[in-house]
Amino acid sequence: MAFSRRSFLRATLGIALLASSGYILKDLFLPSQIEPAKRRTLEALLDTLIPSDTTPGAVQLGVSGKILGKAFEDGEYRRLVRKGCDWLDRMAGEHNADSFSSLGEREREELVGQTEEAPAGSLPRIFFERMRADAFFHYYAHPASWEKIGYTGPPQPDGYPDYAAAPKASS
Amino acid sequence: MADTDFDVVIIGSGAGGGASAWSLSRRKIRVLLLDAGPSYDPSEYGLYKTDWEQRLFPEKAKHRARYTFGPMQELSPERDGLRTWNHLSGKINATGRRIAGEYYHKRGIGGSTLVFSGEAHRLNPESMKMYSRFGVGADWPLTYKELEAYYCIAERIVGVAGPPGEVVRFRSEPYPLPPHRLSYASSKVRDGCRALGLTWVENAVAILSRPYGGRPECNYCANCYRGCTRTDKGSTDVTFIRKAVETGFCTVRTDSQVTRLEAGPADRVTAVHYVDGENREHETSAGAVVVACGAIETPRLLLASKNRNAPDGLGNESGQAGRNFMETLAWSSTGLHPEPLGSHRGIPVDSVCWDFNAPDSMRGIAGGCRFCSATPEADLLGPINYAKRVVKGWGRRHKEEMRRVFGSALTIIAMGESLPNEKSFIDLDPHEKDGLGMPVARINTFLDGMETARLEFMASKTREILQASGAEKTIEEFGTYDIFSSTHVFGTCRMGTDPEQSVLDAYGRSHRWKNLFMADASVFPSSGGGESPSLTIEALAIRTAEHILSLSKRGEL
Repeated sequence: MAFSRRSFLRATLGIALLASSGYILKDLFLPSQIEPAKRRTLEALLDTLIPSDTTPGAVQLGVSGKILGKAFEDGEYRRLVRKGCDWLDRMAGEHNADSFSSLGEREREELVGQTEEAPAGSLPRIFFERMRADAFFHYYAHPASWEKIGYTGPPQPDGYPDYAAAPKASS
Repeated sequence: MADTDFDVVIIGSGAGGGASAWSLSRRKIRVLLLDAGPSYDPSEYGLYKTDWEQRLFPEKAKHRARYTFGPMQELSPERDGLRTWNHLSGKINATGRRIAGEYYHKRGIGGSTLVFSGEAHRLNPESMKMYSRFGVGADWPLTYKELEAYYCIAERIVGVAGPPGEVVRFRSEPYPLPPHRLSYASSKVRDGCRALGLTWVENAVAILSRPYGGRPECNYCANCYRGCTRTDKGSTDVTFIRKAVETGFCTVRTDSQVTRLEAGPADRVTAVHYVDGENREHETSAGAVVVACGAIETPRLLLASKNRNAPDGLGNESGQAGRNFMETLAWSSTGLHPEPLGSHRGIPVDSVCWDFNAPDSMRGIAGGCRFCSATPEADLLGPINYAKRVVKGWGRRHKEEMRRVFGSALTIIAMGESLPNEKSFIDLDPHEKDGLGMPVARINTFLDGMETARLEFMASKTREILQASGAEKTIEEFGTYDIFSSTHVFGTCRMGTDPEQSVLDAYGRSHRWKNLFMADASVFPSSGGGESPSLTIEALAIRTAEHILSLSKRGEL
């Protein structure tokens, strides 16, 4: 495949931003090489895994940006995300929908349930397990996800001087 | 200072190397302390950051010691109850053979004490005579009584907090600091153990319960193994080595990997060869050499140092260098308590049951064990691990369940005696070399029937304690039966009175090489009944250093 000038500029710009600007800029600007339609599928999946209720959902806390950033850096991961999203969109077609992201919440949950129950080692199962683990990994690193579960971290600088007492009930 | 200006070269800066450096430099002995890793800045351990749970100790790949494994043993279907599992992911090792996990070893100033949990145990004196009493392993060539004064010194330097009322391990003075209060979660375990008729006491730890020696008290973040940001944990970088450098007699060189010791004529080590971080080769000599690289890296260095004066490897005249390898025998069970406990708070291992620590505690099984409350050791310290390992599913129900169970995990851990056998040893891998061309250590490990029987007892009692503590559902169990995983390793250059059966004399000096000493757990003739070894390593290292000083004064080095 020919390496176009545009993709070269996009890639070098991305690398320069990564080097100089840290993770937040990387999340916003790095080209993910995942097409917009597939990004919408990915975002719909992530918000199905971690929907918003009294606390924000996965996309609102930047989880999709982290996963797209990883997909940019890691070709194997990128292929898994693409193929997994393809699979979800194909299955959505069986529900007469254009894509997974156009399904209602209940239908999306049903399809995610099918990926979870797919045979061990199959593409949908591997995709599900990886996305579940990665979504939680990034979501619960965000302080906005902590309040309702009663977590008051990070561990320092305050520590937990009340460690010998029963934990206070979370609001 | 030129490389020829040192009296003693110490290799490795963990518990043994650090204690040796302090003991010698405070007596105005000029010490060169070499470590293959860097010096770490505690403020960079990442515990202030919101993504702290995604990070472990900030070790760089280039500083990681490489090692390989020999063939792993088949697992018996009859021992299926000892398999490692998680309620969401099933068996972690789904094969029929034991698998190679990790040797938790750290390079860098402080060595593995950088990531230890701070446990500061004295050995049970009864476990130092395993051969005389049970015909297994080997006897220590020194007594607990001979070591006791050195335990006191080590405790004062690192700042040990412990409970009064010790009975089994004679103490000539109280702990320097009062014990830590139990965490709320551990108070449930204490109550459960009392109901079972077991004794449950505060653990002795090198974690400050009050400001001490210019360091602040602990604030109970429970993350010792990610590195102690506050420096209240008594790792050797902030205790022994800091004090050694202050004497002006200790020079520390980081990123300096020793590749070979020169076995010279007249039964003396004549040179230490090392490579620095810029790949420059150095050679230094000294009146004495202390090797303190841990029970896997120390025999590796000796065996890699063979030459015509030491054709089987340095210090390996008996063929015992690398033999008698003893590993970590451990079990843990984690369950969920119906009440939120905030179990991510406290110190990692705050309380302990020593009732089965004596080597004759288990009927028909030689060697003891101990049990402790240790939820932080299972890395259930933040929401990411709860989301991935504890709470099933996804979606709205998963979020609600997170709110219900976070902080309710309880983990009980058992650590047991490990006895040597013919199939457990360290040798040099004939095919694998590290980046400097030095053969890597190969870990050959085998658990025999006595070990698995001890593990069965440990697992059974752990489950009993967990249940008595009020846990309603077990969600995860981990054991070293099906996965090799060692924090504590011992025995590969053991001390003894018989040069045919040991590498070192009772002072950690080579039987043949008069200026060669060891100061790590490779010198242990037996492992003890589950005690953490760092304090014993430090006490032995101080004693060895005093001996070096005495030999030097008498002109016998």
